[in-house]
Order: sequence, then C-alpha cells, then structure tokens
Amino acid sequence: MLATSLYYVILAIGWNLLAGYTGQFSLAHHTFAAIGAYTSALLVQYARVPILVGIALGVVLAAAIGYGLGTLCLRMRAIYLALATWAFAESVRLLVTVEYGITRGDLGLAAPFLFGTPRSTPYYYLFLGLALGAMLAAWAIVDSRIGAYMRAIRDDEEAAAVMGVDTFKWKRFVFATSAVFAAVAGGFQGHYLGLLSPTPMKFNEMAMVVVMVIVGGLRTFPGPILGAVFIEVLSELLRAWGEVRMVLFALLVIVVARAYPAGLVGIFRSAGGYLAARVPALAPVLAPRRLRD
Amino acid sequence: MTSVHGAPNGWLLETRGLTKRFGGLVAVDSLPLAVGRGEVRGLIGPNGSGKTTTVNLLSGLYRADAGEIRLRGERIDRLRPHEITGRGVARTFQIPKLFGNMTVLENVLVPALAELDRGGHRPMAEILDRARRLLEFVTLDRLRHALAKELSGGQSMLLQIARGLMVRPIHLFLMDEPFAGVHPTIKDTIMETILRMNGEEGVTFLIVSHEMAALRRLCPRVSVMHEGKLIAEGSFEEIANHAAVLEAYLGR
Ligand SMILES: Nc1ncnc2c1ncn2[C@@H]1O[C@H](COP(=O)(O)OP(=O)(O)OP(=O)(O)O)[C@@H](O)[C@H]1O
Ligand SMILES: [Mg+2]
Repeated sequence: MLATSLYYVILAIGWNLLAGYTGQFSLAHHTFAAIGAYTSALLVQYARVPILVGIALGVVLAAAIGYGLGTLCLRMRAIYLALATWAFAESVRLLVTVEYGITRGDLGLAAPFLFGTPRSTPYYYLFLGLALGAMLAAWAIVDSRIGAYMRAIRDDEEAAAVMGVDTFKWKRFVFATSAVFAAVAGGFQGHYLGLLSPTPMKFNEMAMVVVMVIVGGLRTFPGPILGAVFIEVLSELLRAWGEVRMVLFALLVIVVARAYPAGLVGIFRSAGGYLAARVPALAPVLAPRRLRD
Repeated sequence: MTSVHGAPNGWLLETRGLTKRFGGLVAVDSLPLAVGRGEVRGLIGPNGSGKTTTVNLLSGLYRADAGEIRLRGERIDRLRPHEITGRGVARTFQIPKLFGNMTVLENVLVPALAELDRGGHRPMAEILDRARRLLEFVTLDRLRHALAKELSGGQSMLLQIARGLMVRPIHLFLMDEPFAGVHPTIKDTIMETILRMNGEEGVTFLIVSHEMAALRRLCPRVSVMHEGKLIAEGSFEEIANHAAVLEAYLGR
C-alpha cells in the first residue's frame, strides 16, 4: 500500500503540472502510465530486453505520444481538450483489450518482477526514491522560467501570448513532461505488480488522480503529495465499501472545491496561520514569507 | 535601403487592405493605417467601429482575412502573437488581462522571461531594475508583492502598461481604451507614462480611446474609424470639423 501511495504521488505530481499549473485538463494521464507499463512488459516479453531498458523505452514512447497528442489537442479549448484526451484514453484501453493476442487483454500480461520477488520492501524504497525524484523534477520546473510561463498560460493564455510566451510550445512541453512522469511511475509499477490488465486504464483511475490533486490542493506544490497519500490510505481503509467510495470521493471533491480551493494544503495553511498568530514564536516555521525579490 | 514600404523615415506600422470578417459582418474593412516612427497616434470611432478588432489583428490574436501588416517594412500578418511581440509590439487590453494569481512584480517579469526563451540574455539584475523602475513610474512598486487579482481596475490598467513596457525591444505599444473607467489621478499617471516613454525611449503608441481630452493632449494626429473603414485622419482640429466624422458620431 505504501508503494502504491507513492506511485499515485508521482502520477498526481505530473498531472498537477499540467492541470494545476498550466490549466490543461487532460483526462489521459492514467493512459500514459499504462503505455509505460505495457511497453516495458511487452518489450521484456517479446524482445527480451532488460527490464530497465523496457521501462526507459516505455517512457520515451509515452513522451513521443504525449508530444503528438499535445500537437493535435492543445489548440483546442478546455472542454474539447478534456473530451479528446478522454477519447484517446478509451481508444488505447480498447486497443489493449482487443489485441489480446499480443497483450493478453483481460487475462493479464505478465511483467517480470524488477527485483525478482513480489516482496514489497525493496519496491517501497524504489518508489520512495522515484517520488522524491518526481518532487525534485517538478520543483525544478515550477521554479524555473518555464514555471512562470506555465502559470501565465493558466491565468490568461492570450495575455501570455502577447507578452511573448510561445504558449503552444510550452503547453506541449508540459503535456509531454507529465506523460513522462506517468510512464516512469507506470513502468516501475508494472514490474512491481507482476501482472498488467486494462482495468487501471478505465476512467475510474483517472478520476482517482483528479480527486487526489483537488483534495490535496490543485496548483500547490505539496497538494498532489498530500492528496495522493490521503486518498490512497482512505481508499484502503474503506475497501469494504467498493465502488461507493467513488461517490464519497466525489462529494469530498465538491466540499473541498467550495470551501477550500487549495485543498488540504489550504486547510493546513490556514491552521498554521491561526497557530502562528497565537504563538508568535512559531510564526517563522508556520507562515513563511511569500516572496523574495 | 529604400524599400517601397517604409524603411528609413518611412512608416513604423503600415497596413494595406486589412480586412476581418465575422460571418457576414465586416469588422475591419480594407483598412489602410500608417503610423510613423515615434508618433503617438490616436484611434477613435463610435462603438463597434472595429478599433479593438484592429488591435487584435495587429497583435496577432486574430488572423486577417485579407490585406497585409508591415512593421518596419516587414510583413507580420502571418506571425503568431508571441512572434509579433518578439519584433517589438506590446499591447494592453480594454478589459485588463493580467496573470491574476501571480504577483504584480511577477506579472511585469513575464515579458522579460519570455525574451530569454527567444535567445535573449539580459542579466537578471538589469531585468529586475527595469521592472522596479517601471512599477515605480506607474505607482505600483509598493504593491509589487500583492497578487494581481487584488488590484483595482485602474491599478490593473497601470500594471498592463508597465508589463507591456517590459517587452524588449519595444517599438510599438498598442493601447485599447487605457483611460476607460479609470480614476483621474491614474489617468494622469498613464498620460505621463506614455509621454515619458515616447520622449525618452522613442516608443511609438497607437491609442484607442473615447477620451477626447486625453487624446488631444497626447496625439498630434488621430485616425477615425467607422464601420470598419478609415474615414478620416488628421489633427484634432481637422477631424473635429470633418463632415464624415460628424456624421459617424452624430448619426445618420
Ligand atoms: N470575436 C467576435 N466575433 C464576432 N463579432 C465580433 C467579434 N469581435 C468583434 N465583433 C464585432 O465586430 C464589430 C467591431 O467590434 P470592435 O470590438 O472591434 O469595435 P470597437 O470599435 O472596439 O468598439 P468599442 O468602442 O465598443 O470597444 C462589432 O460589430 C462587434 O460586434
Ligand atoms: Mg473596443
């Protein structure tokens, strides 16, 4: 469960870059995880490449497809982007299901264990490392001039364009980058689970990522991290509820979006601000200043 | 060096046959507009006469259905907005379009950061220095850490202007209704900023406005549009007595 939480942390960080910081609501993020996973498992099985090479090639393929899909879709308005990426996600899922001669469809495709064992401890450390890597990479992007382009695009794309930002190029860059995040997570996850099926390519999985990011705090840095762990843990605790959990999560999203647009992060921040006001000694820790010159 | 369309002491901006249609409506109709280097030109016309559409065509947000636009003699009418900006064109919007969730200072830094992407390499210290100086001009330096969405309407207009002046090089600044709904003190600040940038840095301005008093002070020449067409051009006195202008404004 810990490794799985961290898997979702990586997915959520990638999607937050795209949807949160850049304002592009793709609904195919989970599909890029699957592209990473299937590419690697298939290459390992049919071409006998080493697992790490398979994962790397899966990531390259996901980046290329992300770049291509971005080229096709990113001139569209928000609602059409969501629809087009959703259609893409469903097409890939159907393709994987139907081509069972190659993918073994719903029967599942075996992916050899990366560490030769299904024991979860080594994978936990692996995913911890990957999640930290994802955080660092996301931080480096958000903190760079690219981060400024992304936020400008999200706030007002026309204004960004006439202030000199090549909006299309940078949206596509973030789209491909978020696909890379997903494919890295998906590739390793496949060789941890040992068996791939088209089930996580269903819309439910995408919905989980959306829920995690929104509940955690859209467009905040810690949001996807908190949200992914929180929702994954909650989801495990409520396992007995089955599909009803999705209803609960949907309600949670509505409540959070209305009361706390910055999600759990927003809640913690206001709690921190409240405490800092009461206990001035805590102020530098709880309410750090917003900006440097 | 003498090109037909401008170049030495020719026009900075020149359009020919510029046309934009929305369905059956011809919003801009074969517009011939020519603005000289260093000019502060006014663009007036009744509501719906095509002024904003013209600015959108010049800044690349709309693609012309016909005609051409030249900046310093070169065609820019097929370029994308950021490419036009890269050639030295900045603009403001009638209804301010800011980066609401970014601070005032971050807003003015965006054009400079975009310049880095085009291969510019201004040192960050110089960029910050100019940003702070411009914010001071427009009286927003004190608010530089506030979020742009927290600003009033007039302050938003000032920020749009400071942000546009961060475009480098800047040859032409297009302003769409910079004085609309703005407090008189802010109006003065805007006028001062325009005159100062025109005088000190030679920036050419094309100012769309209904504020005749402000335009009279700023613009030696104004162009008048009506139903997408250019119907008159000249000094304030000339156009004030122009029959077609009176007819356009006073009705048919
Ligand atoms: N995006 C659009 N789609 C359809 N019609 C448009 C569009 N933009 C402008 N128009 C129409 O084109 C004509 C010119 O509009 P424009 O906004 O350029 O006028 P304007 O001179 O700026 O007017 P105002 O003084 O009210 O700002 C109007 O009839 C307007 O309704
Ligand atoms: Mg207008």
